[in-house]
Amino acid sequence: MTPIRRRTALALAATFTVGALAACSQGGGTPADGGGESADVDTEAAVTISVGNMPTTENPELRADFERKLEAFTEAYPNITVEPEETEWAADTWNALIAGGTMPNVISAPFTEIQSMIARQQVADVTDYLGESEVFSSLNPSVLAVAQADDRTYAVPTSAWTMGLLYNRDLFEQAGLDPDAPPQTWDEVRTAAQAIQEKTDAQGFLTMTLDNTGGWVLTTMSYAFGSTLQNEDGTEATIVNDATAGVLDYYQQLRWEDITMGSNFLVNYDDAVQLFASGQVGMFVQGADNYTNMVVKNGMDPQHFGVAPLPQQPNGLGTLSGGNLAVFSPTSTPEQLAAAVKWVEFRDFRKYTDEDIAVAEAEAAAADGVAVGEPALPVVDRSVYDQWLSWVEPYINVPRENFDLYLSTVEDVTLVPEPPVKAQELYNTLDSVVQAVLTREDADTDELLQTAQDTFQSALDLG
Amino acid sequence: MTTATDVTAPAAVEPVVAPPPRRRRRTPVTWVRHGGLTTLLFFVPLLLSFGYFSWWPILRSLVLSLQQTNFLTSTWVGLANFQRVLADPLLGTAVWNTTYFSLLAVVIGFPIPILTAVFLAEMRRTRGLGSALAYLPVIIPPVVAVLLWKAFYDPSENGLFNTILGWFGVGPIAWLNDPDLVIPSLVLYATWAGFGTGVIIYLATLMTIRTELYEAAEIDGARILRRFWHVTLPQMRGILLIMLLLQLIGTFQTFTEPYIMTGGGPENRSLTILLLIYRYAFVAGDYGRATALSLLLAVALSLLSGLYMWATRRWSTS
Amino acid sequence: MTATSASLRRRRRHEEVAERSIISTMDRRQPIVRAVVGIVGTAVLIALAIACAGPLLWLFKAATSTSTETLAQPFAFWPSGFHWANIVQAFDEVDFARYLGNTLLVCLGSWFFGLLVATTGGYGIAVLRPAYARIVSAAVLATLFIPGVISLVALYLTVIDVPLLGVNLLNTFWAVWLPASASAFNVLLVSRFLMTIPRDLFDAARIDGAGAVRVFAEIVLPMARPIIGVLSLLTMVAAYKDFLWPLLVLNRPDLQPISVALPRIADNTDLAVLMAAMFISVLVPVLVFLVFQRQFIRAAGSAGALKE
Repeated sequence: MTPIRRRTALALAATFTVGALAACSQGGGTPADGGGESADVDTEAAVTISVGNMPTTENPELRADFERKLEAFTEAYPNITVEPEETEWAADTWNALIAGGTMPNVISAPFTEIQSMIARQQVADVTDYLGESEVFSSLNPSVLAVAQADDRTYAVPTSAWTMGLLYNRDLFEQAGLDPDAPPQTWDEVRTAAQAIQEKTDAQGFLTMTLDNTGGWVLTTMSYAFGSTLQNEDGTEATIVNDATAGVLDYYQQLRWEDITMGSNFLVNYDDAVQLFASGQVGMFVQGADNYTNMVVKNGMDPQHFGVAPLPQQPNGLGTLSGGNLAVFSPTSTPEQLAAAVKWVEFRDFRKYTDEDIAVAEAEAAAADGVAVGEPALPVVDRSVYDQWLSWVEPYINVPRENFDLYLSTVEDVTLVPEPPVKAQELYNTLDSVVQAVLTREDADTDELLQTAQDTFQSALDLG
Repeated sequence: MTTATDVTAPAAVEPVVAPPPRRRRRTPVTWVRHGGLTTLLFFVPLLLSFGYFSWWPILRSLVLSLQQTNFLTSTWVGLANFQRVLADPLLGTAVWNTTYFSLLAVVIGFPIPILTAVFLAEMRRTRGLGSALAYLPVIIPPVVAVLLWKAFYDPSENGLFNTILGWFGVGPIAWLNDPDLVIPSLVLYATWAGFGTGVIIYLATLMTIRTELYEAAEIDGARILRRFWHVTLPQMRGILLIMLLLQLIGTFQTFTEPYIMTGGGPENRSLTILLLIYRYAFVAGDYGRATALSLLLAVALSLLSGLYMWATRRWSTS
Repeated sequence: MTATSASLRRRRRHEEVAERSIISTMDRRQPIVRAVVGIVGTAVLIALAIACAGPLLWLFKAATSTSTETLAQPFAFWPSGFHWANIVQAFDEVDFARYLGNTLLVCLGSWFFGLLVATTGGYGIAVLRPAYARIVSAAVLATLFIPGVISLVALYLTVIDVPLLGVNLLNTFWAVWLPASASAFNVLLVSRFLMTIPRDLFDAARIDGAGAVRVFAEIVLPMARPIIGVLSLLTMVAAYKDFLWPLLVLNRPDLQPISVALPRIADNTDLAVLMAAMFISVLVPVLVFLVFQRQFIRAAGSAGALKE
């Protein structure tokens, strides 16, 4: 639910697969030996913490929600003074933020960054502070594994999502398609796009192309068509492969034969959100958690928002996924860390363990116009999540019945990790491949892929 | 023993030694008493400002270009950054794009302010209005202007420019989406945004051309056009040459337009050198390569300036 | 140089009295010339009006129409009436007070520090002229020929960790004010101007017993008023339009000036409201410009003349 900024939208799949559920449980949440610091922390003393991610005034509903939680928190813990900031994680300024010591005590960051943050010692070890909380013990262990290294936990996952096929239910109806039966194969997507293009004013299909989103979506589609773009240990680029070539052919067909992809191909994350929310696009591949973005922030009619599981080719590998975590400043004092952890717990997790709180929050959120019950990948155990849903049922203001297909399958889909090494550079390189295919009818996909592979391979070789 | 020669000898001897110059002993005390401290105090703001935010960063760039840094540690890598920059295939693209942009901007964007200024100079009553209008685009913050023009350049047939073209029966143009048109589109925008400055400066210069020159030319029987060619232009030579150089240097550093309008696309066809530097520094987090490219660009521009000054030294009036 | 600028001043005044350009008054007596000048003049004016004022008028139209109308029929004139609601919504959602306030702070600070450095430095280089003035002047001049790009990254790193002081200026206005003050152009503008003042004036003052400070305050500053006017306008306009640098150093949204905040807002609002927001943010500089037209244009012109 944390707003995803344009550049941070490249938050990609975490390092977990469904299989990891059965595999390694890295002591989800319980402190490893060597802990015990928390016992020395005085949790009653007055302490001040700075917290980031306060929504800006352009998002009045979200901001009201945030301020409400802030107030409640200060009431519950009068000794903690919270200084909210609108600071967000951004790829280009993160390092400077850290180096300059202006990182707030707690801030949200995408899954993709946490391991390198840990390696660079840019986040605090919070294992000891998590152990005490019962709330955190309900965290899904494989989700928590994302934030761990060497049996220590360095962040708290707060939200997760998968990529999906977003579609406009209203446009589907206009085009004579069944909004409750979204396309499940890529051929079906193609025919649906044609129908929409013919019978409505909107364009059938869209793909983002700018600011690394082009490569991000291409990677997602490659997985769905059957191949990754790097080998497992990230030493070799596997950009030249049948699946990715297949995706590019698919784009070419939709763009040049069917002409269902519109005329503007310089589309970044926010452009795409606006185009979709204003009903100009029938379908596109995007994070399935974009309900708030579309409906709350951009005024899309909630009944028009549709999300379907990402179609897979017969040998598709699965779906790209990702999420956000709360990370903590390494320069915080133990008291600050304890307080900050409490804030995260309060802000995002109380509702899972206390019915009254869940209901009160949902009620207030609904009143503020915030989405309650939007489609998401739970970070807590399924049973806990279902319980919460049942508690807040009266306040769910999201037409969940529209997302049946997605919600019923979201946990069963195979989740594929993002490229392990230099994902950003990979996406950047692939951006121009996607743009080429969409703007030049004579683009030679094999040549483009080979060039991209050579370029990225040399980036990998440098280490 | 004195002889006649001895009498005249004194003339050959050195004249009376002048009194020794008043040797001012430069002690701190005398220095302060003569106002040295106050003078220095006047220099302090400049020295601090330039020292911290101009000279030091330039020196630091030289150092950075030879290092790899990740904010925790820095390692010396010699010329590796430069090698990597020069080996980057995108460098060729960026240089080509930037050069193309600058040359096109000169061909299109340099004559327009001159002509406009010349016209305005003749329009006695409406000159003020004309100047104000011309300067208006300069006042608009680039961000607003760029976003506006981005909307104008909408490639669908309902885009503003495409609608206008539609009135004349010309099909919708892809503008920024057309790999071949993206740079000309950016140049068109840049010309619109910047020509006002040129107009005002040239207008001011035009007003200072001495009447006698025109009168003489008129007496010599020169028609209007010839007067323009033989009096106006030569008199403007100095300012024209400088403005041309400044424009070249400026357009080589284009960043805002491609950054906001196209992100360097499509397919890196609007990637400029500065945008590449930005990518190195803030997307890849590689400050070493970014400064290396910055240095190369700075050296290239300095050479260009030097060459230009030398080539035009016969022509400038100052 | 003194003679040339003095004669330039005389000439300019002369020109304002007896207008004279390529086309002489005798020429204008010919009806053909009058007609052509009239037609071409009108055409130029119309072209300027369309090209320069047109976009702003269109912006106003887009700000008061719905998004669909703007997208589908860019030239339709308010088919469904004026939608002032967009502007109201823009005011509601976008904290203009804050962003414009930030912009004002950025402008004022840049103006003050820019002026401080330029006047004191120019005074030192042009009037006081200690032994080291030559070196300082050359060092300043050198930076004029070094494109700013070279130090972008290094400047960023310097701002994050100021040498000797060890402070981090990120997300403070100092990060914008101080680097802006290190402008070689400004310093040279002032020093060249001051060099045109006859030295006898200063010598006389010194003989009268005035120290450097008094000379600065009582002679230099008043005499330099026109150049200070030019400088003020130039620094403020530059500060208002600056995009890349504030984008880098002011990433906390509540500190951003309008030039940086707008693209961010663009991502969160629908087209019509964005147009309204853009219109509002353009209104301020345009109105200021319209009011102070003559000063702006005179400033820009004389800055150019001094570039020679």
